[in-house]
Amino acid sequence: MFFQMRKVRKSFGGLVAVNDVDLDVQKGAIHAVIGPNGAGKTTLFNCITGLRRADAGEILFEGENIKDLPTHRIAARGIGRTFQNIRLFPYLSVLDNVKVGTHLLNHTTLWDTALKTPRFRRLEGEVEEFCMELLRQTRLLEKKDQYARNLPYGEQRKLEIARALASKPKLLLLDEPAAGMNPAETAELDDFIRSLKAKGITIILIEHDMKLVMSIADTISVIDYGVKIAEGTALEIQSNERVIEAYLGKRRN
Amino acid sequence: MKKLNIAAVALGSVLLISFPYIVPNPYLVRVAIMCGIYMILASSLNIVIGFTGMFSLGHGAFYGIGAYTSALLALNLQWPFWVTFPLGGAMAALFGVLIGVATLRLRQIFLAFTTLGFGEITRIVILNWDSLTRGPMGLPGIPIPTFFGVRFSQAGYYYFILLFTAVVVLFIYRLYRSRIGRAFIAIREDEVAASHMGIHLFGFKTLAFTLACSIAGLVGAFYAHFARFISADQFGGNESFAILTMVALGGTGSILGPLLGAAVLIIFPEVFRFLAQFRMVIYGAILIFVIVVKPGGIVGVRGVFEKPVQAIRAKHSHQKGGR
Repeated sequence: MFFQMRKVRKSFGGLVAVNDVDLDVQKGAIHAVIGPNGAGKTTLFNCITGLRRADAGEILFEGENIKDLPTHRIAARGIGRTFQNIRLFPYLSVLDNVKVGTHLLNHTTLWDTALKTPRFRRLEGEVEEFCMELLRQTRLLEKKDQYARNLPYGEQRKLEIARALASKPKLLLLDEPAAGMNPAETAELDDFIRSLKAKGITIILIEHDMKLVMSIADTISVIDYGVKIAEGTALEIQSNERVIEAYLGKRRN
Repeated sequence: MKKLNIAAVALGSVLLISFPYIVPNPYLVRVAIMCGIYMILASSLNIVIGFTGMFSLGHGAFYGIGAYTSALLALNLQWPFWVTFPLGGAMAALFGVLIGVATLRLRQIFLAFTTLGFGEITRIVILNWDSLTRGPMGLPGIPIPTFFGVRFSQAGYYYFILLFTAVVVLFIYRLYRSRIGRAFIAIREDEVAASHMGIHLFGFKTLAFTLACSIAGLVGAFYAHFARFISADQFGGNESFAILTMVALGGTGSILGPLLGAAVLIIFPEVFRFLAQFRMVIYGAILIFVIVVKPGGIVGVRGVFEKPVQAIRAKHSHQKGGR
């Protein structure tokens, strides 16, 4: 199995935000995680990337337990992510934001930098070319010299995805990528996520836009109060009693 | 535009190189040398404050460690300047690593406290270690550097610091546009996002801090052989705050800012000699004024001053809007 979570638990004081969650993600799949607000979805992501340390359980990525690794080492294994409340580098240009994403690919030393060695020129040239290509794909090329903070909301979300892709991740965690996007932008995002899948990138997606989720997810896991209450394809989830109950409440007789 | 830039750089270079001959006034050349020294100090502190977004309040101590290291090696062991100069930088870097390793894993504010304390400790140690540093009497008679057997003239000092400033500025410019520089700025902008890009926060913070300290140590070594007399009070808290004010005034996070800030704050007291005893009061006033009115300084991008001010303003306007 490509990515597995085994009985992962995380509590904040008395609140169990993630309660013994198991998750299996196939290589090359799009796996959606849905659930009402405050269900613990983002905490789940934070445990995966090491931003929060899970209290118990195992997080296996390509067969190795990454639960206790620091964030930068987890990123180095090939896990990229975007954030629910956009965390770009606001006073860096759009292009430089993506360039920071290539940190793990380009290993110029301090000497290379100080002396501007041929190696430095070559690697920086490659980074530049690669980042421009990513911006072309995400249609942000025209804005490459603007500060990231000056982009409209939808484009900031796209830039976050471009930045995450710049590290060539094997697994990409998208935390509500469609939030704040209009229907046209969401449709574009739908196509874009499919194109990532076609390139072999595995995706775990937290999303509230059900149309998007039902359209692109191979498997959907539903989380409520930190507990995984259902898992299956879009059709199975739509007819699941417990899911309907979590979202809409119990039917009154 | 590009042609104009090249022309401006060429003209500027010619002016700077011919300066000691156009203006054969030892006093003005001396002021120019002091400008160079503080431009380098402010630029190096800017790596920490402006690029990486960390607060260091003890830059003067690393400047002093470089100065004392080079002076003591030259006086006691008669080692030549070309050997003691890099060793001054190395010693400052060593202390920089120690301070960095001790504090940079902790929250940002601890670096400010530790460097503030370290600055005072350094000054007090220099002041009281009589057998080595001659304590409050200072170190006189530091030898003049020689260049292929010829002793430095004032023009020699001038060209040395001119070249040194150019090298430091070029280095910082290249750093700014490299993987390492981008990592520094990413840390300033958002540590959480930076660590998710695979940036080793502790490693890069320590690197930024150590780089800044080593450059300060090198300038210190130069200063010792230029002034030929050093004492503890030249490298105390006042010195650290003067450098900090230069960075804040010129503008954090830009390459030009610290150069501008240093030039203004070195030339200003020379012009307004009668205000000499109020120097630190004026520096303090400038620091407060800049932080409150224009936290980016004259040409700055962003640094440690801007973030808290923005946060306070946001909170304030939110409260106004809410009630």
